[in-house]
Amino acid sequence: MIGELFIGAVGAFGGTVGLSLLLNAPPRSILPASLTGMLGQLVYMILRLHMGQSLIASYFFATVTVAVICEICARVMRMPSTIFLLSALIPLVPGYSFYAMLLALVQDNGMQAARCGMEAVQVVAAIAVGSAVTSVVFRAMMMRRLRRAEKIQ
Amino acid sequence: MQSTLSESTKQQIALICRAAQLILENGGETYRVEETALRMAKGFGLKNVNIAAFPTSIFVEVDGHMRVTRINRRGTNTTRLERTNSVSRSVERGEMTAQQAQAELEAIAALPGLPLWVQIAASGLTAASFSLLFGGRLSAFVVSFLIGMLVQLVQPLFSNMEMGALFGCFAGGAITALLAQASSPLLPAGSVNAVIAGGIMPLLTGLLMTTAMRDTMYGDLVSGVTRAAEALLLAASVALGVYVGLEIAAMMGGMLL
Repeated sequence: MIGELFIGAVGAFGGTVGLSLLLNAPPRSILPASLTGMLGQLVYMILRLHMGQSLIASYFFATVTVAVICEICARVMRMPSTIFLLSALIPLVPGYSFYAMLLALVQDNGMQAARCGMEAVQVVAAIAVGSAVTSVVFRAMMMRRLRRAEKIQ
Repeated sequence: MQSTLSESTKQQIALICRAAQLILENGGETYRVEETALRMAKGFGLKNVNIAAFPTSIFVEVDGHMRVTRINRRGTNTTRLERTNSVSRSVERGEMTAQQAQAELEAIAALPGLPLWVQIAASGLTAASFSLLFGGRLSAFVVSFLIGMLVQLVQPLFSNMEMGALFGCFAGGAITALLAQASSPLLPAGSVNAVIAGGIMPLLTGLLMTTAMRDTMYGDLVSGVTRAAEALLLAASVALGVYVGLEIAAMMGGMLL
């Protein structure tokens, strides 16, 4: 189990560093984003493979973990949270499932295409809801803090 | 209707369009484009501003003066996103004049990307790392590192072509599948798939699809559907590339044996 998680962590970290470079991420955002991406992958693997949670629940909670850390990084380092999110979500987003669906379609394998496509849509929905919920909650909290600051003045 | 706006207002509108264009061209979400534009308009003291942004075009209207900007190139460059965002915040706080903002935006647009060798190494690292996530081990790591570098190496050939992104994805998929099959004697059973899955990751992250979903949830329905279509089309060209690569590998294998 530990070995599997270790390989997953190395893969997620390396993949996030590589893609952050390809996305021209600001250099000082790359290390925090990659560590966050690695953590997200670990949360997903533990929930999915070792605690037997459902696909959607695993991706949802992994995304919430990533998004919370990205929002905090964004506040601390004064950059838009999207910069961190775009990089850190990379190990989770299901590019492979979409490709697998279309490859199955090309190979005239309808059952396989439907299965991969369904999985891809489920995962994308879980990730999109997870990241949107987190950023909406954070924005609401910021608004409340701003309003309180105004009252004090 | 005859426009009665002053020259400086027109320049400010042009600047708002430029900032919005930079964000859309470099992979920002639609709500972020409109937020940036409104922030700059507030900083310039413009009232009655209407903005509609789509992945392919931006419309900005102020008191009957309308400006449309067409977006032809779409990629992801988060450094440009970050710097454009900070320009808009400086303008909002009144720390930056229109002239300074213009100079800064032009500097951002002219920012060079990373040197080619860094891109190639990054692509190799991405492919190799993802092959680990798809069940590959050391041998798959090495093979997909080489394949990932080669996939990125051929991308500049397509960047200036019409429909370049589609052809780049197709070629990347085909190269990955061909080389993965060709190196299958070196790999343990089942690793060929991990190599192919890793090799296509630099081309295809699923980020577009996630952005599409977020746009839809923020109420930018047109942007969401457009981006989803783009993401599916790119994934389809990668899949077609892999299919063609596998078929060619099978034919060549048949001839050799």
